[in-house]
Amino acid sequence: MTRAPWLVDVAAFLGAVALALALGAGALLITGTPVLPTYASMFSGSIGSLYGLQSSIGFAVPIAFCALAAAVAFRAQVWNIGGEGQLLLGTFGTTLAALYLPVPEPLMLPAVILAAAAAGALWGLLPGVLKVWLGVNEVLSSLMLNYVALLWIDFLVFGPWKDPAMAGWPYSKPFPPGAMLPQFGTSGLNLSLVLALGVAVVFAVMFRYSRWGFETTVIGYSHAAARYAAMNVARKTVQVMLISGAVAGLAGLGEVSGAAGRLYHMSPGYGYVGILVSWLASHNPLLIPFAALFYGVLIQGGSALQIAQVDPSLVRILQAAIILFALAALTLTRRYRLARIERRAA
Amino acid sequence: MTPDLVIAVLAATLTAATPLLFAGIGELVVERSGLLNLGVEGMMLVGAVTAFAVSVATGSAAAGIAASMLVGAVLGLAAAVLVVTVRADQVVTGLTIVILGDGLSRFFGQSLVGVSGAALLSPVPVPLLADIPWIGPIFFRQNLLVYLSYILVPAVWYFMYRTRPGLALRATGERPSAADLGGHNVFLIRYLALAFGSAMAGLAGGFLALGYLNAWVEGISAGRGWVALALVILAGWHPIRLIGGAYLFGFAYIMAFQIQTFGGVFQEVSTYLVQMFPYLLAIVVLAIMGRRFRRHRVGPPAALALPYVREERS
Repeated sequence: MTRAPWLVDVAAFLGAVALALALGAGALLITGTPVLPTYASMFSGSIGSLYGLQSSIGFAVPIAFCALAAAVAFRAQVWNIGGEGQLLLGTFGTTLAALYLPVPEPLMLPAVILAAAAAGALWGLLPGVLKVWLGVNEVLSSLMLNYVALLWIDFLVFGPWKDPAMAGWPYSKPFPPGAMLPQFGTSGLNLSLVLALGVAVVFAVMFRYSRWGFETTVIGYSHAAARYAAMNVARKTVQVMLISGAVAGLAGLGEVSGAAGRLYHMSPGYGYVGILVSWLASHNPLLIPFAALFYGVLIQGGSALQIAQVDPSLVRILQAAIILFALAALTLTRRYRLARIERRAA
Repeated sequence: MTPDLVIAVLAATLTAATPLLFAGIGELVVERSGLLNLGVEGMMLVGAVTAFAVSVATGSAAAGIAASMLVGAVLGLAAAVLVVTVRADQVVTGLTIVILGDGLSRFFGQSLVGVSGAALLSPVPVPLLADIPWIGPIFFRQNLLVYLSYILVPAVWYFMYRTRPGLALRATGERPSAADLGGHNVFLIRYLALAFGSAMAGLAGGFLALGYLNAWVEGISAGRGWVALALVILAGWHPIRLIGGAYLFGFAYIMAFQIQTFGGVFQEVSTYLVQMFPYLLAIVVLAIMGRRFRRHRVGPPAALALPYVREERS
């Protein structure tokens, strides 16, 4: 136990999952659903088959982007809750470039990637600037902007960007083929998986080895300490929000350029889930892909249940219960580890 | 605009503001105890579905409202175990409660979508006062919960600033170690504050379902829980100043709802753009107040969102 403290975390996490599943079993019994077949179909639908695993990874990718976006902000104690809106702006940026930017086809792919990141960054920049200049609480401004972004996308797909060929349906025109992300065979996975892993590695290196990452971490521990060390907290806050927004914007890229090839009404909730996933991974960029995959499995398991006629909102409840139990379990194990270290030092 | 329309808009503003006032005053008490409850939105959803379901089942709006407060308080106590006793991260806990509340309300509300026949909160004109021109139709032909909101805010102010338990509450939010030293149970105070705030969030949801929108719709609160959190900041954590903000936002919601009926230019504006108004207004007002607060040194309770650990000195 002393040699591998992470084992304690893993055990605590698995215990929390087991407890939540037990509670979920109770809820299933109340609604008169057989427990074991339900959990079995959730398991086989998510990790029990190649298709299920591929779909789980597909769900994990946008969550990983949003979690990485949350991680860079939360490490600096900048509370960006606007991942959802930044994701939506990413879909807007992608669509704007795909449909209205006159670039030759070979340049289309880099153009949509950059446009998604830029639009997300803009939506992150707003709360950052408002906080630094006017002292506006970033939790609330970033959150309010989620609703504005949602209405903005709805305005476009129900209004000026609506495809007249899709009578009655709120879809934009289809993207040109050049604006679609390259697919990996028939797996349903695409380039955004590689992008997400790339961002995770870049963040890990940045936080471990770069001056920028070090300063961000110091700011996260203490604004006062950072100021005494002559670090520019205001500028760093704005930079953090820009990067966080850009990465969340990339989550939106895959949502439109991955499979749909159009802009449409969506409210996936990945922006909020990303915050929870980042916390599960202790805001560690290299752990985030695994935590995101765990959540992707939960979502895919949930859609497998939907096919089995089980209420999808039950899965949301189960997800929340797992996070709440994990929150309690991991808070306690992390604290006792700290206490042990302090005792040894004393 | 005719006088009748002005009266109708202002009366509707009061109704729209009431759930914001309930959720806001609850969150204000929570934050003055040093806790941050980001779960208001989820608690409102659960309160709304509970109130509606109980009202349909029992035929009593009062029973529905009571149930919404009870369920809110239970959620609040569960959250308190996490954030006060386990000392879990309050931002993560709050966001998870929003997801939980959304899931719970959809699960239990599934069979209630489109159902009519719930007993609703009907307007009860106050004798004499309801007949005063202008004032009467705006303020005194509302339902009983709106009248409760008139009393609740001054009552919370009185409690916070004129009673000893209120002083203990404020001390707990500013410097829990001092409150502890003064013989107050910091943990109990925070449990009670969160239970009260969550009951108020549940009540706000119940009001939405039975006194305002008169139906169960998935995602019925539509961000009002978050607006309530913004209102607490706008009020500078002071109960009386909450009133102005709540009515301003009630007005914004009514405008977003009604503006197209004014005809002319307004008719041309997309409903999606109009609906952005309350959220953009919140950001603008936060920005204006942010400067003022800096100048007057108004800020959050010193111990906001910091867990209290007894054996540590602060």
